[in-house]
Amino acid sequence: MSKKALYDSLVKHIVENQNQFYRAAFYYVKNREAALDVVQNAICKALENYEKLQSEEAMASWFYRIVINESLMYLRKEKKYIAWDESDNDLLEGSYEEPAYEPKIEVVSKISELPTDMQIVIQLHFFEEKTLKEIAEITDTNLNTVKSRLYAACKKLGKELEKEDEELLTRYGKSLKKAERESRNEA
Amino acid sequence: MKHDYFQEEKLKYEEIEIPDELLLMVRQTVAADRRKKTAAWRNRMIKMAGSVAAILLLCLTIGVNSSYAFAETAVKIPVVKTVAKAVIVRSYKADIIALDEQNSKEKEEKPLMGQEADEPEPFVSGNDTVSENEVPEQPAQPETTEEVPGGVEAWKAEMTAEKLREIKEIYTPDMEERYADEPEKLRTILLAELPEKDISLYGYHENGVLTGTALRVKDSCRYFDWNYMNGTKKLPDISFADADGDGEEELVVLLYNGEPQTKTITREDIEAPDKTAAEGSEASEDGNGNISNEAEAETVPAQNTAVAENIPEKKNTETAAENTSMSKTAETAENTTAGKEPDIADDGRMKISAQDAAEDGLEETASGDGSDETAAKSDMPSVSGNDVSVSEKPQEAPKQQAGELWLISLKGENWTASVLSINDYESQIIHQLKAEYDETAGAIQLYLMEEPFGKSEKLPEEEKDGLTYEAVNLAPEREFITEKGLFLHFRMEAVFVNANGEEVFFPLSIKLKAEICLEDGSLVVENIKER
Repeated sequence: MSKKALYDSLVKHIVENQNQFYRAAFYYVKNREAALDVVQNAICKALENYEKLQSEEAMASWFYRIVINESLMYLRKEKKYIAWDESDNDLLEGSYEEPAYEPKIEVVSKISELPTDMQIVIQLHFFEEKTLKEIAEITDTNLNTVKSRLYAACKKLGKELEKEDEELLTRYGKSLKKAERESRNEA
Repeated sequence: MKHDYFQEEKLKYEEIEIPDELLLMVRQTVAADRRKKTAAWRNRMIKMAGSVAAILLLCLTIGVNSSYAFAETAVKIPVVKTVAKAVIVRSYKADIIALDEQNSKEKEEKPLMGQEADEPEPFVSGNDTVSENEVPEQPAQPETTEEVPGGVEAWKAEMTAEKLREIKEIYTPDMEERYADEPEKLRTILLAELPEKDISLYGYHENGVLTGTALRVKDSCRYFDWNYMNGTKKLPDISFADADGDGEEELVVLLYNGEPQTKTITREDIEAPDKTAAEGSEASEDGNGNISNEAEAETVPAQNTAVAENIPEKKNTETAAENTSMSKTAETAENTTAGKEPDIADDGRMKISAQDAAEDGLEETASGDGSDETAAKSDMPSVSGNDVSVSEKPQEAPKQQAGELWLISLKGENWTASVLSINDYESQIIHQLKAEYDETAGAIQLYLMEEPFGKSEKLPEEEKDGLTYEAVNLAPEREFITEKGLFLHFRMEAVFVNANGEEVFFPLSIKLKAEICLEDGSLVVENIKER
């Protein structure tokens, strides 16, 4: 595939799935403007570096990874910013209360208390309905790591939600079986 | 809740509202990136008014500019030699040009132009690499030869950075008329500049002499006996590029001299060019071919050569250091040519290619010593004969000039072009790659050797309504060098102009691949369709 064709198909992919990327970004940064920024940065980076993309098949995961990385990067910066701001409360108060930017929906309150890597797995698996293998590609980890993260996340959530514990584990069991089936099929 | 925790959460996730700006933002971002890419791409593009030769020229220039490997290979390809002389000054730092000891030595030995070594104001130490491939066809005129030394030397002594700085107008041919009454204004001409870095290149321009340049970097300047614009009207270029791939940018000076000449590229020829300089020098000395590299080095104050070789030099730096600049040249030549030199030497000048001859001519002019002999040597292939007077040369030179490069023959899908020897020059046919726009069909057709090349390409009807065809642009997409040769790929686009005079571009799907094989000197032009 020529470079030009690759570039074009990347653009197409981005345009077609922009809502998905925006949701993912919003899910992490929980702020409309920030999510837009994140998506924009991700697009710029992807288009600048599209030559590094090995094949069209890898494109979806590759771009998703960029979006997630950009989101996390934003959060890291934000964290620094807040930490800095705390020392200066006066500044903080005036500028920081913008209710419009508060997420209207409390997205997955419990989930967002999880460590980031677990959140990512949950988000991708349950919301985006990605297979474990796809998640491994997106997060650039191996399948077993994804499995153990998912399991740990479910367990943690289960503990907090107590009642759902059992069901979560069942679900998790199903996911695992599904993943195994998939990998068998591919093999 | 028990129903499904994740289901609920998922619903919330899906309810995340998509802002209206998203679509706009995505589109704008993509469009901005496309513009950026197109601009970068188009910067390297030429209008396809020219021939295959033009294509190659362009690429080579870029190549010399862009990679050390390329530059080095280019030295080996005579055609390239005619095109560009790349001088890479390395280790440029914000305020100084660093030149190493060797180079200053070179400098001292180089004073071809003037008999005195031109001791440039030392630009602090550093390394300077100069590479050049050039076949200047200089109209070597004995009279000027004599004048040159004094003129240039005087000029060098006189021109200081401040004085140079006052010259703000880039040279254009019409300046000759405008300043006909004020020769002083034409004596030093601004050839190229990089205003953002405060770097400019000036040329000494008096009595038709096109040798001698001054490079000013901020408040310091340095003089080089470079030839510029000999046989061509193309002004030198200066730019920053990592020409040798060491990760640091160098100041790259491209001096254009001569024009493509007709020549059969054979192994011998490939090796020969470097010799030229050597031979020229020899000629003046003993007129005999067997010049040891060192000998050459000593005898001839190699102006161009010294510079040219620097590329190879880099590698042999240590060795080179011992010998003078000339020797360096010689070395380079040797490396390539090695065993063949003697033979060539025996024949003497006869074997010298047109390019070489031209070079010799230049050297003479520059060196001023042994000009007669050189002149004799410089017998152009076409003119052949030692008796050719110097004055005749200039007239001869045009004969070998651009556009006559290739003899292209069709073999199946491939177009093979051989570069003709100068001796065959007269009978040579000029074959060009042409693009034509057929208005009735609304399609672009390429012709190679006047034969349709590839299928004609239809342009989108509705989009080109009200537009006027202007040209086809040819953009080198990539070039690479292997041991076998040089490969160049091109993309093309048709250019139309709308009522407001703005250009509208239509990318064409045709892709050209040009391949110069070092082994047999062949040139193959192919249409590689996108797969």
